[in-house]
Amino acid sequence: MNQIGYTALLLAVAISAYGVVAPLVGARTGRREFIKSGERAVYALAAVVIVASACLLYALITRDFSNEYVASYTSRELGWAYTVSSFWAGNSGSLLLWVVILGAFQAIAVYQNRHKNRELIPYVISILMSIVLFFSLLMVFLPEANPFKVIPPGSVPANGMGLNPMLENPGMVIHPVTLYLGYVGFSIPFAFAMAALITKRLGDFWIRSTRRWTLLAWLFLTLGNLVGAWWAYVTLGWGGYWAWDPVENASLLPWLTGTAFLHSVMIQEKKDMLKVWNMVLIILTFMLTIFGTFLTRSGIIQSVHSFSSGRMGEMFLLFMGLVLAFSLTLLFNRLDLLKSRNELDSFISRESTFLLNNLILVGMAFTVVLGVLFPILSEAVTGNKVTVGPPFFNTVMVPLGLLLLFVTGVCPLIAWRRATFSNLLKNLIYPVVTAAVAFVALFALGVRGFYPLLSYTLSAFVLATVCLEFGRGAWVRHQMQQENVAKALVGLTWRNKRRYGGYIVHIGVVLLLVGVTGSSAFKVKADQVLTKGQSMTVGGYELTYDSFNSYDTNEKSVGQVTFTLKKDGQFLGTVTPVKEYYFNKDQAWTRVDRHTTLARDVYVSLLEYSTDTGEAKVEAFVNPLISWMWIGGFVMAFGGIVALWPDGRDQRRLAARYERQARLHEV
Amino acid sequence: MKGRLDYMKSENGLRPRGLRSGRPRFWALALVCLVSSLALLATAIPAVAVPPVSSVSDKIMCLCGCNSVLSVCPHPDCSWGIPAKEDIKQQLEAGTAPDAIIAQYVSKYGEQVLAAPTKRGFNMVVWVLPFAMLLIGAVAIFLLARTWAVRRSATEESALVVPVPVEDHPDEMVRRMEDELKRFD
Repeated sequence: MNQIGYTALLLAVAISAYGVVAPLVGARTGRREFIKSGERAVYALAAVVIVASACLLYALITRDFSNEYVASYTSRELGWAYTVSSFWAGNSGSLLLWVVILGAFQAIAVYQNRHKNRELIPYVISILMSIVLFFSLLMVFLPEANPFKVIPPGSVPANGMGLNPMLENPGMVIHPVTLYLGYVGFSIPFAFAMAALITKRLGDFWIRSTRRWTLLAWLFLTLGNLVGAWWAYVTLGWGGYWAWDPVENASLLPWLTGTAFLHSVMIQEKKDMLKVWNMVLIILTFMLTIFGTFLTRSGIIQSVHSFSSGRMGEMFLLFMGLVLAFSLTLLFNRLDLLKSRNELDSFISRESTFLLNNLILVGMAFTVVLGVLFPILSEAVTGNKVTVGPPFFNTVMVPLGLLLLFVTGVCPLIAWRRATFSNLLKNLIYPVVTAAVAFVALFALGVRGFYPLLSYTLSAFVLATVCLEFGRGAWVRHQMQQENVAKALVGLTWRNKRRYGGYIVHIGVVLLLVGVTGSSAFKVKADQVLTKGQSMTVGGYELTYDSFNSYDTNEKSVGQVTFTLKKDGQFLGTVTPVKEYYFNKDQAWTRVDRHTTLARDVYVSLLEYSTDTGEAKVEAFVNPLISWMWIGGFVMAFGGIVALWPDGRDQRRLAARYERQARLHEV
Repeated sequence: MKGRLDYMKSENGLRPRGLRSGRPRFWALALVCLVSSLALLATAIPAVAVPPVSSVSDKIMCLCGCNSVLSVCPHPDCSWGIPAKEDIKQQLEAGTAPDAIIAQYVSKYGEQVLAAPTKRGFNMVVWVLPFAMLLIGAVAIFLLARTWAVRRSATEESALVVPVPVEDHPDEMVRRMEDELKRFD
């Protein structure tokens, strides 16, 4: 099976190399058979990478320990779900995952465009195949990246090393896949953008053709980041979810620029402006998806998430350099054609707020890149090693985030094209009054601290603006079509999925920030050594040590303590944190337990225990409002799906444009 | 044991010198008030609490290789982090100030142990640059948006306004100019 898998990878190299060249030749010489052949190469590539993936999956499920990857990441004791997820637990498996997703995505993109964008498609194929070629070459020629590397017959172990206990969590089944779907998804708009530059077809066709791909990539990246945060929260045991680790930052970067791109393209669609800027943003976003992968594998930065190895970092650096040189040269050469007559109907307009939104998002991305790379820069310049960690990011990113939240609130209040101060002030009345009421209520409730007060006040402001938008639209429908308000609300959203889907995403962002603010500003922590019957208090909650249990399995030794949770003497439930020791890996691990409500989490982690005395060292946190963070994530995802949902009218409009374009071409 | 004032009073049959005049009596009364206030305050203010370990562990990195701040190192049996937290706890309980402990760690492990760069020298680049870039960007956007808005109004004017000779409608032009000037005032 390993041989078949490796052969499939070799075929992937050959097909992708062919796929780079054939469509180019076809486009340059006008020989359609080459273009057609390039398209078939896309489907063939999808097939061979699926075969390679199936081979690895088969090896994992059948515990083929002659495969080094299988021996490193699975064991006979591992459950089936985690056996499947061990596919992407290591370096080479995750590279194969990247390739199989890209193979599938490009096959879908080519199929979607079989009757349209015919001038762009040869170049789109060539660019996407170049990316596949790079990843396939890594797997074939770098031993550390080969998922089918075979252990010599005499050295095959009887059992594998097993999965890292950190990764034995449902979050890790979902997080890497969603993140990669997001990373890889941005390759499609990037390829279309490059094809548009090459063919000089620089209208908004490439944007409209890839709008759903961009949204899909953004949606998956959002989910990937959120599931990653949730995984860190329930797994790492320190009561938080985001530590500004370089690898976490790497996944945030394309999300920031991708979000800026999603907003910025609307201006190009509506006003034919910012053509260069949109090109810059999509190049940046794609580069940052590769940068994230480079950071994880280069070894230039230490991280709990990284799996650095060998020469892979150099290869990624080379690839990034080539992509950057190619795309910037192309962009530079087409600058004249990208020039648009930039005009704003009014200084005060939604377009202006979108520019501001872009500035803040790109500023945040710049801050994160600077923070990640500054240790290297500082060492190179001064010879002094420094660390850029959470205190820096919190100091710089929190005000920027709040500024962005403010712009998010103001934006819907300003009309496209032209607005006036008096109009803006009129629109601001209700949201500002809501925000003021929220501020007073929060203050009266005892909320203090500049950032928490500001964050919640701005959240109320944004929520009010979004509700106002929904309310106004629904009211008009209710008046005009005599629908009840609920039906009018659904109808309104359904008729303008993109707009109202976006507003739903904004509601999700607000809910997420409610959780982030509550859990970071009002977190309470306590740790104590307890014996049976003793209690500790954390944030008004009483934890009483009830019972201790310990046992051994083939792979680990487990200790667990059960606590009763009470508040004001009232029984709320029990929590049972666990600490495990893995014999194979000589590694200890904690599995936290939580008592969750919408108001707060009581989060308990077992740090140490003694089997002789039953004494346990416990760390407990009360994280207010943290559930709203995950709820906000779901709402964001729902909003993304609404915006992504096919819109018949929009498609018809686009189809008509394609038809006109085709006719023009024929003339 | 008798104090000096008592001797003065008993031996000379005189009242102690210091208490003869009204002014020193005021000072004595003030002293009593001060002492009793301080005593009251002392009972009201609890003993100075030992700062939590997080006052240090949030500001320094764990050097086990996890690249996390010490307080959030994910390794339950961390060979560097656990002894470090214990050391910090003991020093805090012994009365060492958090800043002094941090300084100790910096002198022992170098500046890289700090979770954020200090705000001096080349490090200022990382603190200032994001805000500087944002400010430059904001100014650039302001200028661009203004230019684009002006360009638009110029286009509109040239497209829509039919040039009218001033002499044809002198009153109207004068009125408009006056209006414009009033707005500038």
